[in-house]
Amino acid sequence: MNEFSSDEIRRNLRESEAEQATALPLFANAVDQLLDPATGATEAEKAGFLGVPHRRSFILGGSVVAASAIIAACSKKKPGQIPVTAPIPDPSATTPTTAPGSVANDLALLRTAQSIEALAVFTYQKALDSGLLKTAAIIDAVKVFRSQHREHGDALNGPITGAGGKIVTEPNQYLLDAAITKELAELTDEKSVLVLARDLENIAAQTYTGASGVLTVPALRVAAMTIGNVEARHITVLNGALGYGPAPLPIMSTAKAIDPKGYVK
Amino acid sequence: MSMSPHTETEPVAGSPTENASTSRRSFVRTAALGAAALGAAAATGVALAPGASASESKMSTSGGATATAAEESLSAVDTTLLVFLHSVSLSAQQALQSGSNASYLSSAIAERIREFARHHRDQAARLGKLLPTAVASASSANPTLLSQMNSAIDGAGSQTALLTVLAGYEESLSATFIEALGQADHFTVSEAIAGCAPILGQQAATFGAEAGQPQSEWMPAFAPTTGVLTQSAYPIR
Repeated sequence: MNEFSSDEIRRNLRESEAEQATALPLFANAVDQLLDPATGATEAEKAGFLGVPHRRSFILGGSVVAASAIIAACSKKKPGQIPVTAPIPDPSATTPTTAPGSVANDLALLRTAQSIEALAVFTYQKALDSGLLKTAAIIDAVKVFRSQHREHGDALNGPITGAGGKIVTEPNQYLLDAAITKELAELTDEKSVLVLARDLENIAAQTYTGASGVLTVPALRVAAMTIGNVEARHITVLNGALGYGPAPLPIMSTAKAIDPKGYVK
Repeated sequence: MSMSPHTETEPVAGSPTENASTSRRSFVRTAALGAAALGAAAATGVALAPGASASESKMSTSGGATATAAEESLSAVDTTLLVFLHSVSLSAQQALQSGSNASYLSSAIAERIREFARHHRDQAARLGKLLPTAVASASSANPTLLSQMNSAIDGAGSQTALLTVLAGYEESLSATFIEALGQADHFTVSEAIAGCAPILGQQAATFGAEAGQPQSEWMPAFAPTTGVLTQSAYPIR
């Protein structure tokens, strides 16, 4: 493998953050324009513009970073490494048997996702503040992840307010109680931080995976997966840092997606 | 591993890898469209639920029978979409399997490529499970994509060049599956696609990082949705 350059990583980080800073106003403007009543667009016109099916398909009812080095490192198997390829999860085990989508559920999923993004930002900040992270590459990766989760959360503002919902700024309390608070208190070293981060990213990625299957608006399914796909990439980096294969499974499970009891409605 | 871009190879034809800012613009556009649609639905009380079509009434309460029930109720759109994704997955499997035999690869990288080839195979199986048996049996690797991938792989003369080629195709496949989520009619179809899309992102990131691409390419804030493989450019035979 080639030499790793910290300078280049930091330059990449700066460029990435600069791009993020310019993207958010664009997002907000686009949403504002689409939702501005002054446009006079009727609901049918909006649907037509969006390419949203409005006949048969409408139904009534509620309906870094040094991660390259980390990944490279995982080419060397370590004792206890999980199998390179695991069996395919049985789809019938996780496939709901009734259609789960509804507008109310859409909004709850979006707000829940935003609360998970807030939770991730909170957790990564705690990890950085803990002083347990010693490896420069890992510190850089955690900073990128924190930044990207913040951007994901901000990006959800438009869809939530566009649907008449309220923006969520607080970390998801259910997950905080069930999976984070105690774990944060028990962190002992860098590896323990990475394990917690990977658990958190799995919750996030699997929640988006589940949401992308059931959101009733096609464009939102796509948008949700543009985030969920990146959470999965975070897992890849963390897997590498922990000595696991970068993508050990062929199908993303939803078994660790947030329990509906934790939805922010 | 260097984070510098490598220039040994040309970008993969037909599967461009876009930069992070482009992917953000794509997200902005997509999410804004979704927000407007959801807002309209919320305002009118009418649900936009192509994923919960009338066929949902056929869904079985038995988990094991879910695929069969979905199979019976697949729309033409879903059937075509699944066959297309099935065919590109098989192409990726075959191309990666072939590429893993390149003599210049380290054993670890060769095994990684074979592992991801198996993932494509397993994803094809997952999608095929939703198709009528006869349709799934008749589906095969997408000829245009397979030919293109094999050509690009054969043209790579080094490990880094091959990884760059594969990263580009994985990114295109990732974008293709993400976009497909917006085309699915039935939620069982969108669920199956959703299960595959994150893994394709992981594979794109792995190959991109291994190839020494800039971090912003393989770890963008939002996954790219350009470079999509279309049914018109990659027809099913």
